[in-house]
Amino acid sequence: MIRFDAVDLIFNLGQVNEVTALKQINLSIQKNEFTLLRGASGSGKSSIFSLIAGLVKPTSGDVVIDGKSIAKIPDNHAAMMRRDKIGVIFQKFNLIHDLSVFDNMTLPLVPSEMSIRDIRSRTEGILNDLSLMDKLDTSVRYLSGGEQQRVAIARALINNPKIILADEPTANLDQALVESFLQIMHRLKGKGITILLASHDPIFSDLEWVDRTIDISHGELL
Amino acid sequence: MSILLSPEIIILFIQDVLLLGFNSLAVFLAFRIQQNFDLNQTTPLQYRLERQTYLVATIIRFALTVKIFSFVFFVFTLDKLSNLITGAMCGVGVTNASEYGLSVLLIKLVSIYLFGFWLLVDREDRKTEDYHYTINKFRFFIGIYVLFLLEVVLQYLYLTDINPAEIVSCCGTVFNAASTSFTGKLLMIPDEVVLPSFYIITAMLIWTTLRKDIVLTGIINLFFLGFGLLSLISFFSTYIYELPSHQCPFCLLQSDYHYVGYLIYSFLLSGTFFGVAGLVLQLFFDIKIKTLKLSLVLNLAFVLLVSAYPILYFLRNGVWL
Repeated sequence: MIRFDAVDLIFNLGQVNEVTALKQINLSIQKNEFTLLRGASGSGKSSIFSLIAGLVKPTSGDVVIDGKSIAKIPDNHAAMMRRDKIGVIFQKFNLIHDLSVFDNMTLPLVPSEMSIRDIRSRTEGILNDLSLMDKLDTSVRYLSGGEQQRVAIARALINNPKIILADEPTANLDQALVESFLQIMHRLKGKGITILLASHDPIFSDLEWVDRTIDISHGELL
Repeated sequence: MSILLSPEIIILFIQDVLLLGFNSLAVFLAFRIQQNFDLNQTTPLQYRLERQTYLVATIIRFALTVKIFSFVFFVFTLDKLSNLITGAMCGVGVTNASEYGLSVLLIKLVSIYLFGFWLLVDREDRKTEDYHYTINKFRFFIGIYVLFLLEVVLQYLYLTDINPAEIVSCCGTVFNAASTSFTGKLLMIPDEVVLPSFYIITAMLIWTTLRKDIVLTGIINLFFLGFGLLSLISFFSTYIYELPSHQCPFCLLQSDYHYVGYLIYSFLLSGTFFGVAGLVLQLFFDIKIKTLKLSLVLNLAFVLLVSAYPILYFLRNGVWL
């Protein structure tokens, strides 16, 4: 499903401020696997996510998603692949504060030509799962941090992704909402979705349905 | 007084300097890309080249689009300068004010077709996931760059060579059947030959387009361009001017004729461009594009527009010129 072949990611290559984010990463993640990525801040977790999402290209090596190299296709095609296959839950939410919850969630669907009826029904289903239905038309700027995090999760699910990338998704949720989030993740895994999650939260390490834990440090897999 | 201080010429020079900078940077990178690009590689150089293709293509896209539209501005400038050059009544006189004039006009005409073809190849390339036409696209641009340089140099020589005090011949002399020039000889071909040929070619164009024959339609479009221009100058323009002896391809660009020339040439050039594009892209790039219908619509718009003038003249006056 996801394969890294000898991937290096170096920023400002050849310059005095050169930074090596990832070194010779070889990684293979199977379909439907729930993978937990652990590592300190700056260890390269987010870089791995960015490469899978096609947001950055490697300096060398290859990243293959579903049999197709996302690193080798032009940016416009990488964006379409991301739109069709990947849902991303960002650490800092990346929501548009002036838009409502509904608009934030459905923005990724604008180019998909889905009917407004289908969009609405999908949106409501996800918001019900995340206990956010009553905030549907509320502007994001009036939501608490925890609520914003849940909108970010909802937005990642809106395109029915095959892969979910979650970067510290529970950092701003209370215990009850973390439980709810785990239930959703478990349900999504049951639907055959491949999930990659970066977190320090020990709750994930204790889960029996986490298939694999990968530790990363200074851009290298341990 | 030097015509070099005319605002239009200053704009043309500034534009050429800027685009020369953009295109020179682009051609340097394009050369490197076409030499080293290998999609099977996953090396830092290859990834850098892949990123650069987007940047370079964007620069070229901008520069060539500006050049295509600046052709209209160049024609406008020629017409505007006729006020400053002794004896010039329209762009014809200004073109003849230097030995480089006709060369500049012709090279610009060829260039806008080639620039347009490059933009179409680029558009098709961006649709592919495997940079399918990237190498050939940049090789094509290197060839275009040579033409661009030649155009810049010729335009500079042309504009600096014009002496406003020197008396020039204008359309009445140049586009006259009695003239011994090449254009004069072309105008000696009687309307009884030119007009039927023009309409027969139009009919063939409709036929080949409906048959979706890209190659034949492309070739016929070239004839349509030639006979379209010839019939416009020798026959239709006389009805636009409503003067039987006035045959000129430039005066119809003036306000006296409601700038209709811009519309007429836009239809003819864009119509034949899209008609020939199918052939060129298929022959040289193995790309199949569907522009035949658009080409036919634009070409027919040209035919209808120019044909309307003699018909309306006849309806109003009951006689032909």
